[in-house]
Amino acid sequence: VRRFLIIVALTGALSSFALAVGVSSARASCSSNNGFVTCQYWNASAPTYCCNSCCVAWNTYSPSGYWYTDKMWRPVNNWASVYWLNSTGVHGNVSNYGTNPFWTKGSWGYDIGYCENDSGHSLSSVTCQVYNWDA
Amino acid sequence: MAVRRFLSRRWFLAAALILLVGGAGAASGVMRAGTKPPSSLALIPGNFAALNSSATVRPALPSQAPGPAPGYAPSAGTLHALGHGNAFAWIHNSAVCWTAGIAGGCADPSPLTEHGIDITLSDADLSRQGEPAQVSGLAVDDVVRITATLKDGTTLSATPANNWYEITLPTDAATWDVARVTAETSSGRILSQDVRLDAPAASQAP
Repeated sequence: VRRFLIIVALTGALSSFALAVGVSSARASCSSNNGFVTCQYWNASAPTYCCNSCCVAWNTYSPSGYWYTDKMWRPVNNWASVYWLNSTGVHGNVSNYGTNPFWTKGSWGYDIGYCENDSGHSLSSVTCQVYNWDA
Repeated sequence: MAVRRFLSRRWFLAAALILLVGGAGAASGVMRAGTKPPSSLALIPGNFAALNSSATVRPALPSQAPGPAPGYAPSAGTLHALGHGNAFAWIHNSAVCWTAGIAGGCADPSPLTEHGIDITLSDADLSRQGEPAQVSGLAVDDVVRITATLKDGTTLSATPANNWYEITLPTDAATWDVARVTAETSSGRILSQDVRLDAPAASQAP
């Protein structure tokens, strides 16, 4: 009987742990590998521009100086945008409301990849990744 | 010895009773939650006829189309052409994933959220120049008309084709000039979504 009770207790504890792990969200950061930078930004306080310095993706980070994929995660049903832009202006952009993640892909030249929280309020988490390939 | 056996039996019975009551409670909770049917306006696979038709199946994305993110790629035989072949969609982990032009992603799979449409605003080149910006996205079977209203009051409408709609904006309009997008259902219900996009600050550019 004791063994049975111990098994019941252990099963309950393990289930709770699995649930807790399942709902926890991943933290993000910038990392450099083979000359390019993949930026993931953890946005706790939700500034308007989530990828400001972290995801600046000009020729500093890329061997070719060109980016291809700008991908963004945020809670659905919030307006958000990904942009390609440089000093001459916006070269391409995608804004979305109900798709997560969403991305834009293409080659527009030397640009920064830009992610924007357009929800009008703070978001619990925003992740942005910029790649120089079709990712 | 007899007392211990009696206590053990009591413990066993108590534990069994707790498990029985708890299990029944959990089961009834699950059943209650499961009784609410999915909304016909949710962006779930069952609400897209084109995703359930063999006529729209395509073997692969066109070579010029950007591929989906590796983690979200369609499996063989699950790719469908939407609109007039301008968009492609597939099911990935119960979500409808799509790609069209420079944009792509996976729609909210919540079965109870009444989206009606997904809304994407995009511009493939310089703002207010070159190719015009677009409002486009998935539209469930029940949506019959989509209307975009610009900040200057201009309205533009489109009818979805194979669960996809596209509204081309005037050449001098930017995506952040859109103020509202509405979807009309077959019963005349209007789903409205305000758009509040900020143009990116030029000072942020290198």
